[in-house]
Amino acid sequence: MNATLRPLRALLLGLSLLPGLAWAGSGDAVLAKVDEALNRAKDTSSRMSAETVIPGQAPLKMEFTLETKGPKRMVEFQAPGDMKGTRVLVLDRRQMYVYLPAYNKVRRVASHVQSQGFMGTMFADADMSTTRFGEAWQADLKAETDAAWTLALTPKPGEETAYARLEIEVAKSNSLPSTIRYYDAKGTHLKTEVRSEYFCQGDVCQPGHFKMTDHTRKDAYTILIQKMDKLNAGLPDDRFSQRALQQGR
Amino acid sequence: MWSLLLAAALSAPAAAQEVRWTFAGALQTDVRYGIDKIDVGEWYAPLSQEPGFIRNQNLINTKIGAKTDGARFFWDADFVLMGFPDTLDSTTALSRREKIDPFRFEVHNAYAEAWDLGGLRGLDMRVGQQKIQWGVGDQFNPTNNLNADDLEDPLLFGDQLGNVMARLDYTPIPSLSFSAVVVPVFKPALLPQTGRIALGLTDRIPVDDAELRRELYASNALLESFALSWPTVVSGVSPQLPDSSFENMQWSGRIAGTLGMHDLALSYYKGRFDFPVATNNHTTAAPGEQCNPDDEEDCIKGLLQTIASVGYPEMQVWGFNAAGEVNPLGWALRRAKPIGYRLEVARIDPERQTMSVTNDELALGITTQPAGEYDYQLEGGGRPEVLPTDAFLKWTAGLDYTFGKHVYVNAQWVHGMPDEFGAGDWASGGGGATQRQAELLTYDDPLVCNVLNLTTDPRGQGEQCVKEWTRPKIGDYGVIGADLTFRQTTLRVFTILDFTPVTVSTYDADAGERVSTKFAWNTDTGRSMVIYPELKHAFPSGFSLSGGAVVMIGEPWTKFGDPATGGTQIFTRARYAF
Repeated sequence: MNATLRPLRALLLGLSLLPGLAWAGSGDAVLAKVDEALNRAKDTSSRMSAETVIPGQAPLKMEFTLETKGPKRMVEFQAPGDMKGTRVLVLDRRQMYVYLPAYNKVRRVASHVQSQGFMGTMFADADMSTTRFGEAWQADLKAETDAAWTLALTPKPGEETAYARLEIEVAKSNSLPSTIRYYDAKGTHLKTEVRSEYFCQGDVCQPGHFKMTDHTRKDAYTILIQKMDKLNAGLPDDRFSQRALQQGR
Repeated sequence: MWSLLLAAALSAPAAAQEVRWTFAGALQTDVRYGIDKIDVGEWYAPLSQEPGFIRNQNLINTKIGAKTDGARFFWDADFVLMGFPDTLDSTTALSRREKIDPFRFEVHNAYAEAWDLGGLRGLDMRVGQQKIQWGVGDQFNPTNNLNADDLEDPLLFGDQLGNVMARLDYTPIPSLSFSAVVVPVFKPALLPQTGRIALGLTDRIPVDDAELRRELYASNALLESFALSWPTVVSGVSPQLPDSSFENMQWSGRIAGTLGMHDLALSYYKGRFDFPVATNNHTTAAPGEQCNPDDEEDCIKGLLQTIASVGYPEMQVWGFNAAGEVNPLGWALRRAKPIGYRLEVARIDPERQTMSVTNDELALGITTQPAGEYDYQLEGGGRPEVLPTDAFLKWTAGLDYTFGKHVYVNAQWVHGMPDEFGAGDWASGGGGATQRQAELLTYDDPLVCNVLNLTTDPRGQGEQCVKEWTRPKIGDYGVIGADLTFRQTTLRVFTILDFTPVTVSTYDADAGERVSTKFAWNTDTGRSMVIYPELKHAFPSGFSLSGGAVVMIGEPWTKFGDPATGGTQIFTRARYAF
C-alpha cells in the first residue's frame, strides 16, 4: 500500500519555487530595482538540469522542464528514471498538485511539504520561492563599486523568514543578484549562492547557472543549469491547471 | 462510435503536426516469502499455504506516448514473468514453455485522447483502455468506482484494473470541470491468490438473518457429525457476470472545482459493486467413504459438494470530495504550517440481493433429502437477504503533515474497506453483520444438539447449538503512516488498525437464551492490525532497492487475521526506472 506518501513529498514541494529565482537591494531603493528586474518576464519555458555533490557520495542528477507565469509553475521531470513523467503544478504557495504516473492520479499537496527542501538539493524552499525580496526584507547598502552593490538584508519587523540575514551582491549592469550569502541568527555563514551566465532577451535577463554551497555540510553543493526555451511566449492561463497537469501537454 | 468521433477530431490537424514521442518504463524484480503456515479446512478438503516463496516475479513496464498539439496516444503495460511453473498436469505440459515459465500482460492504459474538440477550448475526449482515478483519499477511495479493484498484489493496495471506457471532460475555466464517463463492459475485482483459502471457510454463511444463518450452520455441522458423516465442502465458485448489454453499462458524472483554497467535487456513479456477493449455494452428494490418514476412526461417508454462485449487485454512488489545507494552530504558533486534509464520502444505494440454497437429492444413508430448495421459514416468505436496499456510507478522512526536513506523517480514518458492502456499522449500531466464524456448541447431554433434533426443530437447533463471531458489514480503520527520509533512503512505516468490534454470540443454557459479548479493538479477541515497514534506497541512476514486511495480526475471525489474507510476508524489490 503505498499510502501515497511517496517521493512526492520531497519533489513536489520545493518546486513552487524554482523559476524566477531572484533577490537584491541597495538600500531599499536598490532592492526595489532588483525585484523589478527579477519579475520582468511574463512567462518562461526552460529546461533545467541539476547536479548535487555531497562529499563521499555519488552525485545526484536531475533533469526537468519548467514553465512559469507569475507565481505559477509547471514542472515535469525527465530524470532520474524513477521520477520521469512526474509533474508538479504550483498555483501559489498554498495550492500545489502533483501528477504521479504510477497512479494515473493528480493529488493535492499541502504546503507543509516545502519543509523538506527541494529534492535533496542544497536549495531550500525559501531559497527558491522568493520572487520579491522587498516583501519580507529591508536592505542597507553595505558597499558599492563601479560594477556592483552589496546589500545587507534583515527581516522587516513582524516578518518570519528562514534566515536571519542575507548579503546580496547585485550587478549594476542588470540589477540582478550575482551572489547571495545566507546567515543564521548567530551570524554563522550557512550557504552561498552564486548566479552567473545571465542571458538576456530584450530587457529580461535570467541566470543560466546557479551554484548553491552549503557550508554546514562540508561545502556540499548543487549546480543548477537553466536553458531557456521560450521567454514571454504568451503561455495561456490554462497551461497551469489540473487539466494540463493530468494531460501532460 | 466514440472511436470514429475521435478519429474525425484528430485526423485533419494531426496530419500536419509534428508527433512527439515519449518513452519510459521500468524493470522490476519482486521476491516475497510467506512466513505463516496456513491451514484451513478438514483433512478431506484441506486448503493450506506452507511457509515459502510466494512471489518470484520479473516485470517490464513500458510507457509509450505519441503526442501532437491536439491529441495523444498512450500505452502503459506490464509484461510479467511469473517465476513459478504453472500446474503441470501432463507430460505434454513439461515440454510447453508457457507452462514451465508462464507470463502475463497487464495493460493499464491504451487510449487515444483529443483536446479542445471541435475547436471548443476545454472540451476533451479520451477513448480506450484506461484508469480513471477519482477521489482525494490516499488508496482508500469509495467514490472511485469506474475501474475494478486490483487486489492481486497486496503491496499495490489501491491499484485498479484498466478497462475500456469513454471519457468526456469540459473545463470552461481552469478551476471548474465537468466530466462524464461510460464503461460498456463490467469487470469484476481481481482478488488475491490467497482468496482461494476462503473456500475452506465453510462456516461463513453470508445470510443476513441471524437465526437462519445459525440454522444453516447447524445443519451443515450436524450432517458432518458422527451420526451422518457427510461434511459440506465448497467445491467451486460460479461468478455470474452481467450481460454486456446497453442496460448494464456503467456510467458516471462529476463536477469538480476550486472554491477559495479548497478543491471540491460532486460525483454520481451507476454501476456495480465489483466484489462477489453470494446468490446461490447448490449442493450435491458425492458418496465415497474415506478415513483420515492420521486417524482411522475419523471417517466420512461422502462429501456434500457445494457450488457457490456469486453475482455483482447494482449500486448507485453519490460522492463528495474535498481537499486542501487548514492551519488550526496558525493563530497561536507563527511557525506552524498548514495541515493537509482530505475528505471523501460516498453514499451507496445498493440493489437488493437474496440468496437461494438448493440441492439435488441427497441420499445420506439414514435419511434422504429430496431435491429442491431449502425451507427458509422466513417471515413473509421469500429467500433470505444477503444485501438489503438500505443506503449506507463509506468515507475516508485524512490529514498529513511534514515535521522538519525528514519526517512526513499521513493519517486517515477509513470507514469501509473496498471489499465491504452493505448497511451495518459500528457507529450506527444497526444494519447487518457478517459472520466470521462459527462452531457447534457441545453439552454434557449429547441429545441437546443432534441430528434428530435438527430434523424436528431445525431453527431451535441453530439458536441452541451455534456459537458465532460476527462484525459489522462496514468496518472502521485507523491508518497512520510515516516516511523518514534521509537523502536517498526512506524508511516507511504504516499501520492499519481495525477499530471494528467483534461480537461473540452463544447460547446460555442456564439462562435459556442467547447472549452476545462485544470485544473492542484493544482486546485479544478483537485485535486486528497490519504493520508495514519498508526500507528503500534510491540510487541516483534510477535504480532502487527496497525490502520490508507486511505483518498481519489478529485472530482468524478478524479482518487482518483472516487466513484468506495469506498471512505475514516479507518482501524485497529491485527496480530500475528509465
